[in-house]
Amino acid sequence: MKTETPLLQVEDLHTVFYTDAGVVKAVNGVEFALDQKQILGLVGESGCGKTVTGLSILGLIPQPPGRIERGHIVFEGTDLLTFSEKDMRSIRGNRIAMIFQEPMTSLNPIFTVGYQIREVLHIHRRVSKQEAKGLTVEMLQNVGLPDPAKRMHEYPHQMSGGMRQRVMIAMALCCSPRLIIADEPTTALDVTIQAQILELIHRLKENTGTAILLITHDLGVIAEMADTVAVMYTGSIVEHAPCDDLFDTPCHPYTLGLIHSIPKIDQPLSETKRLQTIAGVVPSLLDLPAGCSFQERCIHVTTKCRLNPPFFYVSDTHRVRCWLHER
Amino acid sequence: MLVGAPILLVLIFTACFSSFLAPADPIKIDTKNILKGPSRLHPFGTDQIGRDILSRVIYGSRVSLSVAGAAVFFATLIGVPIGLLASYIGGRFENILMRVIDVFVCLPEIFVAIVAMAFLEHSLRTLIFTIGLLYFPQFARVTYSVASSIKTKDYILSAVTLGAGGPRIVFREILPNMASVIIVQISFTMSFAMLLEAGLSFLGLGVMPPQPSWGQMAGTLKDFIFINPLLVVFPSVALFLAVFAINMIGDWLQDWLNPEIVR
Repeated sequence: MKTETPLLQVEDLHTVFYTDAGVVKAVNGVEFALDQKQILGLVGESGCGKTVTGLSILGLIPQPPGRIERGHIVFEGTDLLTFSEKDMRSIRGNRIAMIFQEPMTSLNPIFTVGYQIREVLHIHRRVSKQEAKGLTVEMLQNVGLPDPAKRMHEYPHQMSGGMRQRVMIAMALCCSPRLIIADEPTTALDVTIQAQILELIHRLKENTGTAILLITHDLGVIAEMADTVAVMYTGSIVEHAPCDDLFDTPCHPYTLGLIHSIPKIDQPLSETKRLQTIAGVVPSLLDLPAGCSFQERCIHVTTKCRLNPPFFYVSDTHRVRCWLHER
Repeated sequence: MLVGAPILLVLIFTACFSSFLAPADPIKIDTKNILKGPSRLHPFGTDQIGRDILSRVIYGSRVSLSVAGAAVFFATLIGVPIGLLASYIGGRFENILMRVIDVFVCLPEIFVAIVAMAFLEHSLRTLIFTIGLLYFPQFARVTYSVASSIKTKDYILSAVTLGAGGPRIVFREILPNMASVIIVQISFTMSFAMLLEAGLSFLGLGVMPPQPSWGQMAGTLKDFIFINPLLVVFPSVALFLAVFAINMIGDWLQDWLNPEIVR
């Protein structure tokens, strides 16, 4: 079945937190679309609203203090924000699943991993015990856990981080969700395991055709995995482009800064022998400056930056929120 | 554990089979043999109206265990749900509920028990409910604080993202993870409850004669300490051993059930 509407469309999403210190605008007009079988990478530094965007999609913003002020999250043609908590529960884990950063603590320590996977199957699919057992072995096999029939009787503490992350992925996948939100899925793992897990996610995407929203701060992971990339800064997307375009012709000064701050294997360092950094600090989300939020750290800043830049299209698929690209 | 468990097992055994184990009728009066020391016929001697103390101690284990057990059961049954509810619902409800619990914690145990036993119907049931009411706030508090800390764990969030609803989170995720804490709390409260029952009975407010209870026997026999000082020792030692055994088991459970330790 071919449809014109994308699987997930986030429009003008505003998520804020009311704290004692003031109103924190964690997500500030995020918009993107995600098709089936696509991986969208959401990059940005800590506190730029990546995770809050992911949690907003699943309706997991703690309310209060959080609140989704404006926007739409259209998933398979319906706006998730109009759903009741009960309806959301049948979406979570079933249609949209999430993989977390910390595999070490994201599994319940007192149940076997097999039991935990069976429970998800039981909630969403209402399968018989015998079937669930078979499916569990199959799922663990799919995520490359060695000897799944035996391993499913183990407790989380008996497994390594990489194995636990595989179990988490198996849990996320066991109802064949249409969308997986992977929140820094490899951050807590060491590098060789990271590569394996990324490979696994990639393979599973090819096999099942789920879309993946990959949240990370690691541009290397993005370059490896993503089809399109959205760079976030202070709660909004500043640049959104196909992965190759973004790395070949980064347009936003912030994206440039991020790419320059990574050591390159084929380029010698400049004469100062230092990596370039982005000067200044991220402005507080409590008190964002009027206009472009990157203006205080930007080397190309002009008076025009006092106004909030709209998206300018560098090409059909490459858009950037910066006055430098006004045409 | 090595010390506690056998003592407790013996205690439970004697409580279950008192009628077979006791050599004599615990309420049979024999005015010809009063305040006698240990003899072949009465290994622990006889009390001021000639009842066999060994039999009374054996029957006393029944009262001690059942009153403490029922009271702790009652306290757990009220306290744990309140703690879970407060922690799960949160917000203003949590605050009000826990402050009410704080008030209960402030009540002086013996005093409340005396008032309750003095004004309410004087029965074992009142005794059990009073002791239970005195100890349920501790269950509520422990449950509440542990549940609140478990609530913030990553696996709870991941269960929510997998579509688990409220009751499932509370009963399948939070409660099993705190079972060990509740079990340890039960074992310690058990020994407190046993001591409180003994204390009240000692003061003549708990178990009423002729039904035997260790505290009440000690309370009565202490009056005759100058006639036969040995007699008061028997029920006291029984009480001491019981509380000691339960505490030992509680300590051992606490070490063994620590959720961080490998199963």
